[in-house]
Amino acid sequence: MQFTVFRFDPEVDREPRYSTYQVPVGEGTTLLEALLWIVDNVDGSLSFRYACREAICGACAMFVNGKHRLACKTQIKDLRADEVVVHPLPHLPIIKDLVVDMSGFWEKYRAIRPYLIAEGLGERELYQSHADRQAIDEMLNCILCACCYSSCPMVWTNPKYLGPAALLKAYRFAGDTRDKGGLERLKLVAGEDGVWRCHTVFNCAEACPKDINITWSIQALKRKLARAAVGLRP
Amino acid sequence: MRTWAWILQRASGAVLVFALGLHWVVQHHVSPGAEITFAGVHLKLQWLLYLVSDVLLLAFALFHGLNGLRTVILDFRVSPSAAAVLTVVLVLVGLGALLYGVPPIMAFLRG
Repeated sequence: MQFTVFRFDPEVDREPRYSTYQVPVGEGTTLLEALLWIVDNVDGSLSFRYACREAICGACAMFVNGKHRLACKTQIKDLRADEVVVHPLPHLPIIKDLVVDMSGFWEKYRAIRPYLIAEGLGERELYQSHADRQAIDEMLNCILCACCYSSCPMVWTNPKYLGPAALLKAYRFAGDTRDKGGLERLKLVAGEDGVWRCHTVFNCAEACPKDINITWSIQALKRKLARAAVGLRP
Repeated sequence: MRTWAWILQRASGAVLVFALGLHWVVQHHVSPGAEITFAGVHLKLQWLLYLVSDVLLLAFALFHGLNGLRTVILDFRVSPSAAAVLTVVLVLVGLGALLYGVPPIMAFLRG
């Protein structure tokens, strides 16, 4: 099958270009396997990220045939196409080929304090009921692949916007009954560049390879902030 | 402040649905002076329900529209100082438009 892959090496290329490869594809061949076949057999200069090979690390997120996907999770036959066109995650600075600069993504992720704020950590069990755990079950599936971040038009127009991944994580902790971050945590997402920039486009939910309804979590954060503003318990 | 802007945008939206419905009913179905003549307009603009529904519509439409415009502009890269200036400008535009719009509605109130 023909693979058309976006290429750009800032040290060599003046402009991006595309390379075309013929790759043998069998039953169950994944996109990651196909890309590794290209590196092993045709072009060792092709760059892309990968690690776990089982859709839990989020490293191999790419834009494949017009859709955000994880290369390791995508079976070629499921694309139902005669050609596979591979781009890096859109709207992120390109380091080389399919490798994008994630520094802005991680900077915003760190800004929401993505960890449990609680007293007595490591000293005693922090009990969480099954029902409380289920309330944040979906959000815990996030693997920080940045598909949502790359697909969000608000991120494209306002680089300061925290973006869907960081806000999803903020809700993951704000909705965790063990977390004592409370209003301090909510304040981190209440600014002009926080939740209010989300206009429920739902691109993030569409792009998420883990099928997380990220938009819902952002709206839940808005509700918590609104409740706090009128004096109700968030 | 941003949280309140969001809450009031929703609240003003809900009021607008009500005010628009009220305006439509008052304007086209129960308003006196339906005939568009000087006397008809004169009669209509002295009717309290008509005045209330129109001032309500004007005030909330201005707030909803300008607050929405502020949100759209802030979706782009805007510095905090520019955002503050924008807020002041939009408040002045809103108040100016309200002060400009209310007197014609009240023109015949004093007979």
